[in-house]
Amino acid sequence: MIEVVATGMFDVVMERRRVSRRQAFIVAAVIAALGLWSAWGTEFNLAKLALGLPAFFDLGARMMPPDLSILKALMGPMIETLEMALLGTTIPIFFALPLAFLAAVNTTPHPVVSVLLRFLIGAFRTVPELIWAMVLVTAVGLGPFPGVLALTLHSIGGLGKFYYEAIEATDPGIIDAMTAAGASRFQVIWFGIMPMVLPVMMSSTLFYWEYNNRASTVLGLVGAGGIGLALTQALQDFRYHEVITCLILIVLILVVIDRFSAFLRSRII
Amino acid sequence: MITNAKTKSPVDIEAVLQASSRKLTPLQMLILAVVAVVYWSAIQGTEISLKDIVTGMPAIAELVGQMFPPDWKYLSELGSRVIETLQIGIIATIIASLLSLPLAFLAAKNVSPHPLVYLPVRLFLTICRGVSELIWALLFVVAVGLGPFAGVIALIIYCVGVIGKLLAEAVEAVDPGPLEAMEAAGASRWKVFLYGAWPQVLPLYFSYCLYYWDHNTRQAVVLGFVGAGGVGYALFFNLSTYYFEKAMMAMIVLILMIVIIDRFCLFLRQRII
Repeated sequence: MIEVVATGMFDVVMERRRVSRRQAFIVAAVIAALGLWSAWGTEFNLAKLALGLPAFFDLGARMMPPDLSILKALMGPMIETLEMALLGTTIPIFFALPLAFLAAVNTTPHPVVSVLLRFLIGAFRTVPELIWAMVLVTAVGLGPFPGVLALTLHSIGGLGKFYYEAIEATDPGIIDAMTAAGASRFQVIWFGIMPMVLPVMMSSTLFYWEYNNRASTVLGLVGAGGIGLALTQALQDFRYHEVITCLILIVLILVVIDRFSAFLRSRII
Repeated sequence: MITNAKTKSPVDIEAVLQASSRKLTPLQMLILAVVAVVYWSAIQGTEISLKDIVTGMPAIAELVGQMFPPDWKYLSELGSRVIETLQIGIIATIIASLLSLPLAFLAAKNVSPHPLVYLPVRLFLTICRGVSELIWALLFVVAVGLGPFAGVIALIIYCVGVIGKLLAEAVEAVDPGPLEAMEAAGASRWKVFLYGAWPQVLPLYFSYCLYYWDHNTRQAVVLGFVGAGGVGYALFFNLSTYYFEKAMMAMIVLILMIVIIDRFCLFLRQRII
């Protein structure tokens, strides 16, 4: 009897394994088909790769050695890039925080407000900062200022979403208890919710600071200042020895910032 | 009256409160001063002015006015651009996820064959993700010419850097028990990775690949700005040649694409994980 049951179970296990194998095979086949279709559409093939990679290494060879004499001249744009990222992360906090409290379902004054603000936050986040920068450059002119505005607009969306998700994940018991004890809405937010969400908010703000540093290195491509502008200009004028200096500087600064941000995060949490 | 639980002596609440809200230490004051100076110089350096926003408003209004109504006829031309953007995202993610596997194995401390392998691979991954995709694309457009190919390569390089690093960290964080047991039983480094560490990181690997597919498709949209094909190229081209109605149409399509991809990835992630 036990033997019969055991062989029955064995069959069930084998059957399940066959089914999951078949599913895995189908998924793999679909992915492979999509890959082939995409390779064909983007003209990505080995022949092109065989031609393209030597061309890239040739470009790399022409960049050597880096022209270190322009390091001093690059300091200004580099600092500008860092300043854009710093302000582009700080200014949106003041907008994202109130928006998040109005948009989170557990603190919103009215469900309609919540839905509308979520849509607004989503719209800010959806438009990439480079597109914001392009539009703003035409409006307020070239320079770092449209860059700050572009990062600000995109980050209001990004931070706003992180913030309201953090607020919604708080323990409802504390809010109930404070409301029952007669605390005003402001008191509930300030003394009940803020202490709970502050570490999460700081961590996601740091994440956005790292992201914005990376983004602000490319804002120069559309004329919004910083090291990206120096890089594009050097590339357009075929000054490859200066291009590689810019690239090395960008990599170094971003690695340092990632480390610093990780250090700050470990202090907070 | 409040008393100390241990000594039963009365507690001076005023003193306790004062101690908890004590004055800033010199170091904290120094940090605050440095932060204030940094912000002040940043505001000066980036030429922030509310006046510029106010005077720029008519320009923004005019620009937006020229964008309406969007050129709906242009929609049919954008179809192939949309498909191209999707294809760039798919092929880049597939190739990057395959390439990042062996690199992650070499870059994880606990399964890497040798420290002399581990360090260069780590450095390589850091350089790959050190600059953003757009800069890689810029360089590849110069090297191999305009078109989607440059965009695909740029996305692959950046993505290998990120997935490789995340996966290596996941491998380093696995439960060491099975690995030690297999090593004690005489399994090779490669087998230890394949049968000991790999099953533990598989779900994470899928989740990273999915996340970076989403990310790559979004980035593929923007890569067009530097001439690497797709919808972004249509947008950039029309903005710089003052076809604002067409640019608006491209922007609408682009935002819709990003929203749909976002939703689809959320759906897939809920199904898989």
